[in-house]
Amino acid sequence: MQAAFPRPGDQEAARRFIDSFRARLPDAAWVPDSLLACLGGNSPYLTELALRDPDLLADIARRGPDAVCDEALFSLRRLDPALTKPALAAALRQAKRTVALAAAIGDLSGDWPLEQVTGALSDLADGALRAATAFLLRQAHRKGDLTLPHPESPEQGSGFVVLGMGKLGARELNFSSDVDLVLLFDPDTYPDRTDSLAHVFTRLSRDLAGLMEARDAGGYVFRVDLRLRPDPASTPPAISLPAALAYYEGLGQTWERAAMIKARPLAGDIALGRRFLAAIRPFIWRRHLDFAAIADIRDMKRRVDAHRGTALAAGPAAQALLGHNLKLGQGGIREVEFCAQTLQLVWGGREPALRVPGTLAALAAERDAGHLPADWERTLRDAYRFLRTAEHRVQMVADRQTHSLPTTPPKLAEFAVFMGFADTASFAETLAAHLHAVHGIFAPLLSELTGEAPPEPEPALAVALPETWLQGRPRSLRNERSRDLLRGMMPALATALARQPDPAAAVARFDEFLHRLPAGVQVFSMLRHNPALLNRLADVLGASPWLADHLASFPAALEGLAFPEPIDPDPAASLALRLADAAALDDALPIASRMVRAEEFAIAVGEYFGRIDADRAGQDRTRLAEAVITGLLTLAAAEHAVRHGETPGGGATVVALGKAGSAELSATSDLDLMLIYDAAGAAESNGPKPLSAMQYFGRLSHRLIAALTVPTRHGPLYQVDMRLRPSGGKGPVAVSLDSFIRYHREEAWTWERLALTRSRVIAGPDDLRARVAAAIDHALLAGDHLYAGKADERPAAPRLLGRKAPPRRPYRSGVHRPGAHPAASALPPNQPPRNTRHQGIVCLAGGGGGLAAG
Amino acid sequence: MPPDDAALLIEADRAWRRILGVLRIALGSQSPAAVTGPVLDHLLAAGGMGADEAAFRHRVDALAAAARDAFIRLVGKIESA
Repeated sequence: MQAAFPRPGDQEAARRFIDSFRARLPDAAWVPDSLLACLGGNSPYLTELALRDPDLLADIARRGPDAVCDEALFSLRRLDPALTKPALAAALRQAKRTVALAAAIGDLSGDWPLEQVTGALSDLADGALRAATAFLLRQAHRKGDLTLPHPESPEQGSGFVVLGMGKLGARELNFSSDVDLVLLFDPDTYPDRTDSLAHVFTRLSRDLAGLMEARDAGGYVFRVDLRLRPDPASTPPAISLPAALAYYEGLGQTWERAAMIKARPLAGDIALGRRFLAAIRPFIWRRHLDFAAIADIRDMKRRVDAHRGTALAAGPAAQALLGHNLKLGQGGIREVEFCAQTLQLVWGGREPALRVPGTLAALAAERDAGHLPADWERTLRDAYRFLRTAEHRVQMVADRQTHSLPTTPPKLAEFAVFMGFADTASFAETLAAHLHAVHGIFAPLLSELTGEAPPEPEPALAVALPETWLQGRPRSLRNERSRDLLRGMMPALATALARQPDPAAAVARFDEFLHRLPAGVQVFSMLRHNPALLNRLADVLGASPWLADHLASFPAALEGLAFPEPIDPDPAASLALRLADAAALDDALPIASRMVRAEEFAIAVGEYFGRIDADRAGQDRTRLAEAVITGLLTLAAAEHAVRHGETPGGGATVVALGKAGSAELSATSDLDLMLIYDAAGAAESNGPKPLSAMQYFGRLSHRLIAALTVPTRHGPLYQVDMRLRPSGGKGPVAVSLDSFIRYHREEAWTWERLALTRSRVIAGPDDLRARVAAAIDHALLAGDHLYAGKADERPAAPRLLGRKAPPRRPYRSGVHRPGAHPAASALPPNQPPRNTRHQGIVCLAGGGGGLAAG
Repeated sequence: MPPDDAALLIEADRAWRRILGVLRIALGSQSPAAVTGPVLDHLLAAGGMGADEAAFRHRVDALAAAARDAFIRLVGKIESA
């Protein structure tokens, strides 16, 4: 093995080790003196490892660290399941010693880049944790504490997952790092064991930590730190999945979000871990630009600085760096990590490419995305590599979890040699240059993100803004931080509101918005640092009480204003997926309500400000409605089947008519729907409570309508009108396909056929949808029955159609009386007027003209 | 349908839907008759429908009359409206 190993810092110690090694393995001439001198003269820990197992060192020198390391990691994956606990612990410690020595030699030889060193150490931790977890799960199964679904493969579906956090999660483990873990279990995996489950997994977690930390003459595997779990002071070491989700969704802090960026399921039930991380993705990655995170990170850094006193001392570098903390000190590793994570938290919600766990990968992604200047990225990258290498070497000396440089000049001189430098001065100069360069970026980077100067205030309006805001009356302003943020944006806010055509109304709507906000910091932070968003908010408040009301009810909708481009390129598809994942109709409704309202707001803003045209807005609304209807129909049918069974071969379709049919829904449009079913000849359903086919599909239809129209605090999801079905309000809510065909052959009015021109079958089984679509086509196009039952109608057609003619006047406005929907005048005599659900909708174009009927 | 009529009706349909969309968003249940002056001008300008109310009314009048003529040509006289 030929490599330029660092010279020994302690010549005497090096000589002793060389003599000792050669005495034990006199034939191992391929082990170079330079390697032995490096180990012996710089690292008591590596010296001890090599003396404990000289054959291992000889093997590494002969075959190279890669081969030995790979073999050790492979052996971890093939451990005998029948091993006893002490034998397992011994095997893990042996693997640790092998990988540690191989990685150290790979590092010292200069052959292994930083990523390979940290990757090997992380792989070791992964392998050890997997082996230990599998052993403990198997043991719990044998003892009857758990009934594993796959005892032969104990981790699979076990409902217990080990999440690697911090450096382990990002595969950046240090030489002597603790391993930060979060341990989760899923109570649903063991529904019969809810009482004792927490105890079982608490014991298993302690055993896991014990296996990792147990020491003997051969050392230990890893120290385990479980304090990154939710509320570690008051929770057991293993947390149930629902408790963890509830914690992160309700109480999670910015530092926990930053920690979760690096989280990785590495042992146990990996699928469970992935589901958990997917579930907390909205907690980690906010859809809006998260400027509040910057202030939090700045506070975190300030606290670290205050606690540790980490500023670089004045004077010559060699003196100033004595005892300097490479991790937490000024310009240190943590500042590089904070730079990467701050930009990730701010932009990562909108840019998935930034969601990478590794620090160097994150910096590169931020550079590529244009958030980090290339020269800053290069500076941070080079400094990070140097600092992490120095950190490894510091820890390699004695296998201590230290991040500080030696505190005496002689020891610092030895360390400088271990780092490959000629002397202390050259090492200190290089290190100081990196530290100053990092700190020179860290502070400006955060300031650049937060330091936009507000415009000058407009005095008159600034004075007119209610003092109550800053006195903290609204709930959103009850803490000092939110009041500070509002105070900071007040001049810009005053200017933006003053620009509105009715400034007083805009101020009143902002006041309402403030009073209904549940919390202020996040929103004010976003507005404070995004003047364009503040202006858009003012424009919305100035333009539309409806949008202002929506914003006040759903402050999260502010995200829809933040960017011209939609956050989700296909919200209807996302909604469909979310609904498909819902376990029950009741679970689906809040999901549908939240997404529909958010997207409706985004569409309305886009339409109002001309970013999208009416065609696009109508199509987007309609696709969203279709996703809702499809998802809810599926869930309603499934729940219906549990109670009442099925009509084998049968099914139900939903037909959209009116503007829903032509994909032209506008804001506040209701949905004209019709439910057509085919019972496939079944007289009744086959469930525990059978129903006749008509009842079965009628109730299903009612269930769907109820779901779509269920009143909430913010109104129903949609208004639904089913009166375009055969026989209108007098016919059954769900109509059989046969009845539909017969009705349109024998009874339908012309206006009903007109309505069919805009019909689309939007939900239901494919084959039935095709048959319903064919029946509609036949009703519209087959000339043999046109007017068959209404022979006297044809001469009247122009008169009836005339009711739908364009207006004589540009628009007629007014609030309609209950029961006096404008379309009612166009209805034939057997059609009741539409109900009062249109009350209050502005009617344009007199007799309808296609405008009011939506 | 003659291409010119089709183009006209498409233009009218889009305009009505655009107006309806913007007014529904802006006014909710409020009548447009209740909104006048600079607020309506702002609304119309923001909606891309003209610089002021007069220009907007002129445009809508012309489009409505043309659409009605097209309807009569295509369907027949309108007995009542």
